[in-house]
Amino acid sequence: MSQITLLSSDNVEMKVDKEVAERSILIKNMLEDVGETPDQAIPIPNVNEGVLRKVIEWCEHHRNDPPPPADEDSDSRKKSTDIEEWDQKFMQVDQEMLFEIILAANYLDIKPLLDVGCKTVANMIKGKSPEEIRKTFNIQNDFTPEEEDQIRRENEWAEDR
Amino acid sequence: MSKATTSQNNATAPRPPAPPSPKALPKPDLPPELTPFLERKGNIEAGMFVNIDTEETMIYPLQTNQRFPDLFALRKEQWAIRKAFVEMMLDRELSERYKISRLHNQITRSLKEDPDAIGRLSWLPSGVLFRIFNQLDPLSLLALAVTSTRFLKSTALHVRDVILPPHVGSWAGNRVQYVHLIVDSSLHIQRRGRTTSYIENHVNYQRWTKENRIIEPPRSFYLTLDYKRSRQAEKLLARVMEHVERFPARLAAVREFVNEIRYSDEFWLSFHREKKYWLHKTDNHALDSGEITIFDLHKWTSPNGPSRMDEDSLPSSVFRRREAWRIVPCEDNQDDILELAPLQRGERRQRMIEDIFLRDEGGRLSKIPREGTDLVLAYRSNPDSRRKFAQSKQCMKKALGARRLFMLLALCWAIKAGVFPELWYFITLGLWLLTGKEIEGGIVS
Repeated sequence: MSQITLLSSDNVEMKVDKEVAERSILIKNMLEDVGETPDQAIPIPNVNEGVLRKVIEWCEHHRNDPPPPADEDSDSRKKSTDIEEWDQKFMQVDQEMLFEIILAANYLDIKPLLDVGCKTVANMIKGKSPEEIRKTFNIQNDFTPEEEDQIRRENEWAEDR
Repeated sequence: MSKATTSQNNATAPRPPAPPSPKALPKPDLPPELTPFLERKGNIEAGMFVNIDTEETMIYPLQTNQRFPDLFALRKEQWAIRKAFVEMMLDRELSERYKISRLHNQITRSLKEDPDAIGRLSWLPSGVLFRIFNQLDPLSLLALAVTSTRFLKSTALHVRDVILPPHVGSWAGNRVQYVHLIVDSSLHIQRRGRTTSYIENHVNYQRWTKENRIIEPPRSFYLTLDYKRSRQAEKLLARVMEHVERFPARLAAVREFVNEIRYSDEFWLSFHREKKYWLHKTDNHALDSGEITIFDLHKWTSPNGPSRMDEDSLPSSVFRRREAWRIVPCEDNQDDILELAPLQRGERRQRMIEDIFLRDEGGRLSKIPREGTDLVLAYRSNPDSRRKFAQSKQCMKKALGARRLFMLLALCWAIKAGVFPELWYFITLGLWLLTGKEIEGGIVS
């Protein structure tokens, strides 16, 4: 099994199986463009060592998964709670790391990982009131009192009992 | 409704009519098209649901005269039931939300909150945000949308079909007023613009837009399903619910509901004055005796509601209104005579009736052309007429006072001039001639 080297944004090299690395559509396309296994490390400028290791860990675990369906929207309404147990444990990290993984998955074009990340975030949002969401994600409420009052009135029907 | 009550009520009535055939069902995504009453004669007293948004009305109870309701009535009924179900689905959605909330806590319990990750969610790329939005149920999406301006904007496309108009809870998107009205015989009904509506409805609509609108949901809807027809009822409901999806209702919940009632013999969905409702099942006996017909709304739209209401079992407060029931004041110079009166306000209703009766006495109300057209007539209170009436009364009082004063002055002059006996003689003679009565103690010749 041929291996390639990835170079994180903080200049740490990591060897990884080509098959595992090709879970990333970005890397896969790069390798196809080059035409052969490169001798030099492939720079991943937007992902640091810690995040890259997590991403590789996920790719290692899912190396034998079938490729995601071409029509990605077909599954877009799948319930967010449908996260595999391993993935749930994998995503048990702090928010900073969670968002970094999501960004890395987005950059590296690893849709299944991106989906897992988005579902995890969605699960953190579900069932919460706006104030709870603000607290969870440290979102600043920038509505004026008038705007807030209007929004509250318009959405009164959705208030908790 | 308890079993005992049901059985008692169902002692003598005929068996319910056959349910509507699926072919006869209207398109459930639209309110029914209402044929306007071109003319209504005599004083009509009725309850009416007015859909303020569509300016359409439903007269309740539906007068079917024990016959199978016609398509027109059926359409209205189906529309009402569909709307009612949507409300229920909203509540189901909330329940589901709580379930998910619990599940979410289990899943994300170990996720640490990191105070350093300031607003990271807000600044995720839009493509990633959209993926997250797609994973959210409508209510959660709505909750996220109202956390900040950025999310309100970024979720705009996703929540466009989710954010419902105000007062959605009252009639699933439409503002509905229940009015008890009395229509006078001289009221003319006209088509206004593209919308067919009664004038009184339109007038009330205009007035409601000025004031705080009074929202009152329909009291109740009733549907009977027996065992044999459950399959057909399921189809009916499924068809009704097909169009619910645009509201934040999960189809899974809809199916669950349909499945739940599939083997039920009957159920009724009732609304409360406080915008509460509950689902109530009864047994087969009610159906066997058949008193409760499919469209026996009259029973359930009575002012006091169904008997033996179980107040404690009323569920959701989602649709509970905080404001008290209010009546929009009816002012002079407004094109109306139809004061809104909730059923339980007897005094108000009495006043309304008295106002109409007053027309014969003081011209309280009159039929006058509306501004700009001679064709459309409105029935309205006429302040000019009442003012004249009041003025004439005042004039009469003044005239009487003047006559008394004149008599006093004449008497004083006669005494002073020494002609009092003569004057008294002429007065008594004149009164005797006029009235035929001799004044006691008059002049004795």
